[in-house]
This record gives sequence, C-alpha cells and structure tokens, in this order.
Amino acid sequence: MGYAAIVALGVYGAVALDRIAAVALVVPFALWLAIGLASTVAPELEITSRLDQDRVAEGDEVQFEVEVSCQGGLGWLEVELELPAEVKCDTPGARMRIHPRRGASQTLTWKLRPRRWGSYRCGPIRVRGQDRFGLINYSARLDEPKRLRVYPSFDRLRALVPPARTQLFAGNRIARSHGEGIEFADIRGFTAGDRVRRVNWRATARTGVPHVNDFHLERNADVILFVDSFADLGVDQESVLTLAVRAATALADGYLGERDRVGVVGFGGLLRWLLPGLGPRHFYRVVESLLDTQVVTSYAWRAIDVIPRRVLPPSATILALTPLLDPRSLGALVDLHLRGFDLVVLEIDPERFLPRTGRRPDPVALRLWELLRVARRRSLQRAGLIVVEWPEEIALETLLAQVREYRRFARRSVA
Amino acid sequence: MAETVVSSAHLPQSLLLGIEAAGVALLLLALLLARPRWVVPAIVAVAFPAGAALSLRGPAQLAPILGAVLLAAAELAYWSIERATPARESFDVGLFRGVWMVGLCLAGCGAGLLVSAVSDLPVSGGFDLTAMGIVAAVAISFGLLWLGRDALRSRVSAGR
Repeated sequence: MGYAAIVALGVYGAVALDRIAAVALVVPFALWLAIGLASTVAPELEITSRLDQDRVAEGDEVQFEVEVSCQGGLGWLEVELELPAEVKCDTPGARMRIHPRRGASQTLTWKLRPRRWGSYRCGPIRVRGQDRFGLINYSARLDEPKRLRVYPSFDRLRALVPPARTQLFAGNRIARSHGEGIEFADIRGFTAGDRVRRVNWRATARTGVPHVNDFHLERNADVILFVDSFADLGVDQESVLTLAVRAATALADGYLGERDRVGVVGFGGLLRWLLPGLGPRHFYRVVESLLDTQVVTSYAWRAIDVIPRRVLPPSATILALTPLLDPRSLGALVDLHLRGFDLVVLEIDPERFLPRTGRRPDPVALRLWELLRVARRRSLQRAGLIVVEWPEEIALETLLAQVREYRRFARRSVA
Repeated sequence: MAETVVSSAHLPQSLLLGIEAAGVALLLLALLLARPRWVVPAIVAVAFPAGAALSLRGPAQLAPILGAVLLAAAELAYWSIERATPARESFDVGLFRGVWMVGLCLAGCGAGLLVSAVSDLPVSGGFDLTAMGIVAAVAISFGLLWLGRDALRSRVSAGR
C-alpha cells in the first residue's frame, strides 16, 4: 500500500504539475509493484494439527504436529503455536519458519511437556507469511485449539488409613459382622443351615455339642476425598491445591485398588462433586473431576447442606485435604464430624509455598498467621476431629502412617 | 495551475532541505524503533523536495536514478526491520530478493530514463495532452489494482 501511494503521488503529481519527470521518479516503484503483483499467486493453505496423545501425566512428553499444505506462492511461512504457561515447549521456540513448496505438504513438530496437572488448550495456531518478493504479508489465526488433559503424578501408596466402618458390598476389608469369609472371628453353636465343612471338630469333640467356625465378612468401604479449594497459595507451578490434588489422586488410586468406593467433593467457591464408585474406570472419572479443581473467589457462605446426600453416604470415611485458610471450610469440617462421619483432616502446611527469595513477608505477620492456623487446628482437635499437620519434609505415606497410629492410640485411650 | 502556484510560491530552499532532513530522521527512527509503517512517509518526505526540484528545474534524467535509489533504500529498510527478518536468516530468500532488487532498480532506471526521454520530445501542451495524462494516471491506478486482485485474495483453512 505504501508503494502504491508513492506511485499515485508521482503519477497524479505529474498530471498536476504537468511534468512527466515526476512519473520518471516513481517508475521503479511502479515496475516493482506491477511485476511483483502480477507474478504473485494468492496462497491457499490447508493446516491440520493434532496431538499424539490427549491424556498424559505431569512431566510426560507429548508431540504437537502441524501439517501445512500450500497451493500458492509463498516465499516463507512462519507457524507459531500459542501455549498456556503450564505447558513447556521443549522444542526451542514456539515459532517455526518453513519455505513451503507448491503442492507439497510439510510437517512441523513441537515437543511439549506439561508441568502441572489440569486441562489445557494447545493453540490457537498463528501463521504469517510473505510472497517471494516480500511485497504482500499474509497472516491468519486458526482458532481450533487441541485439548490436552494432564493427569497428576503420584506415588503408589502401600498402606492407607483403614475406614472405621464398612458398607454392604463385597470388598477387601474385614467387617465387624460375621458370615462367610476368610478371617476367623469366633466359634459358635451349630444352627440349622450351617455347612458341615465349617464344623469345628475339636470344639465339638470337647463339648459334645456341634460347634462351627464363624468368620468376618469382607466388605468394602466408602471413602470421600474432600478437597478444600477456597484458597490457594503457591509459587511457580507448586501450590497448596496442586499438592492436594496429587494427594487426592494417590488416595483414590489406593482405595479403588482395595475395591472401596471413592467419591470426590471439591468444596470451594465452585462446588464440585462426584458420586462414589469403584473400579478402574472410576479412577479416571475421579481424576477428570479433580482436573477441573480451581480456586474461584466467592464470598458466599457455604455449608455442608449444599452437598447432595448421595455424595456423602452414611458411615463413609472422609479424608479432607485443606490448608485451613478459610473459615468456611472449618465450619464444614466440624459439621461433617457432628453428623457422625469418620473424618480425618490432613492439613497442608501453606508456609512451604511462600516464596524463598525476594520479598519475604513481615516476620511478625508471619508469626501471627502461624498462630491463627494453630488456633484453628486446636479448635478442630478440641471438637474431636483428627487433624494431622503435613509439613514439607514428610511424604504422604509417612503422614498416613501417623494417622493410623493416632487412631489406634485414640481407640486405646477410649477403651 | 499547480505549477504556477508552486513556482510563484518561491518555496525557500531551507524549507525543502528541512523536509528532506525530517524524512531522513524519520527513516532513521523507523529503523531504530522497528516501525515499518514510518518507512513510506519517510521516503515520501525525502523524495518530495528532490522530486519537485527535478521536475520543475531539472535535470529530469536524474529523477529515475533518484527513484531507483529510494526504492533500494525502502526495500533495505523493510528487510532490516521486518519481524523475524527472513531475508537475513535465510540465504535463499536473501539472495533471491537481492538479485531481484538490483535487477528491478536497473530496469526501473532504464524505464524512467525512457520516460524522461519522451518528456523531452518537443510536444506542445494543451488540453488533449493533459486529458491523456489523466487517463494514463487512472489507467495505471486501475491496472495496479487489477494486478493485485489475486494476490490479495488468499485462503487459509484448517484441515480436520
């Protein structure tokens, strides 16, 4: 357009001044424009993009391929991929330049590595090019991002917190009630309907009255993972919520492996839930529901009665992952305890996510904040809740061992 | 009439030099700050005083040479500040454009000298010649638009 303006100025100036010399001045520009425009063919690009996997774990590599097919004249073409901040591009630069050949297609590959769990959109793709002479710029934006779901990475847990009560379905847990099972429970008198193979011959011989062995039933339990998403504190890609979701994923994997039913409640500005279920397929449902966990600022007071009853089965064991930063989550936890749920609170220490370098918080403010959290923890413990602090240097497996020990001690104290 | 106005205005030399200096300064700023849109106004500011002087006072044979030099300057300015500078980073693109620019500048010079030679012919003015000039100017404008119609109509689609 600039050169066209110069040519127009020269030509019309020549007419106005009645001097052809003005035309002679702009002849090189006019020649450049004429030859360049005449020999340039409008490019027709077809761009196809795909991800080689749409579900990966944190830190795994995924390839994003873009196939460019050009039917026109382009001197060069630049393809740029827009990525979210949590997805790192291992390929140097998210922008690649090619010289497209007419009628041929070329494939560009980016190696991506997501750093944090979540659901991301890879794209859109921006293309920018010029004709061979650099006269005309072409640009376009393809708004068809590809969805990438990144699952949290987690360590397999060898031992879990055993639920206090079992449910009616078959599972791996030893129930208090007696019936058909493997674990020996008691010896009782023979009643009509008992199988002969269960007769305890020693007791029968000693007493002269038929006695049978009784066993503990094997049942499963309902476990609800309660993730507090009212507030988050973090630096870079690590935060309280990131750790909570990873821990919830590890717990879900462990309990579903024990044939327990697992449900999820995301309690925060945005309330999310997943009904308890079991099986390998349900694990993916749990993870998918956790992927959408995010902090949504809300000042509305939330109580536990907003959660549907089916999400919290009676006698369920609830494992709460919370930093105890918001009083609404404290109120909900006390309410759950008073309703008779078997509740264990894993308090994630938010201080570990404070920035280590740069401007540190005022030490007095930090101390006050720490005391506030200690006061909240103590108030929950006085109400009868099991609250275990999760500092930075302890792994989840060790924390669960502490919980088991605490519950055993608590039962022994009550006894 | 325009010539009479311009001639009678006795445009001072300092004003013309000032406009040219402003054009050079604008071009330098465009290079430093990477502003491609400033290149054409800078070229126009440099070309206008010189072009007007050559048109009115001559020698007209210098006009096409000046035009070729300005074209080369504009192209080199664009290459140096366009984003990603493919002409610098890609030898093939740079070589093609360099050869093409040199050839076109020479061809433009030659065509411009031809036009200057035609303008030196002893042909008297008059309404007919002026009308022919206007028609030629409009024809050149439409001609360039017609040539650019395909180049400006591009299509980018996303495959499935």
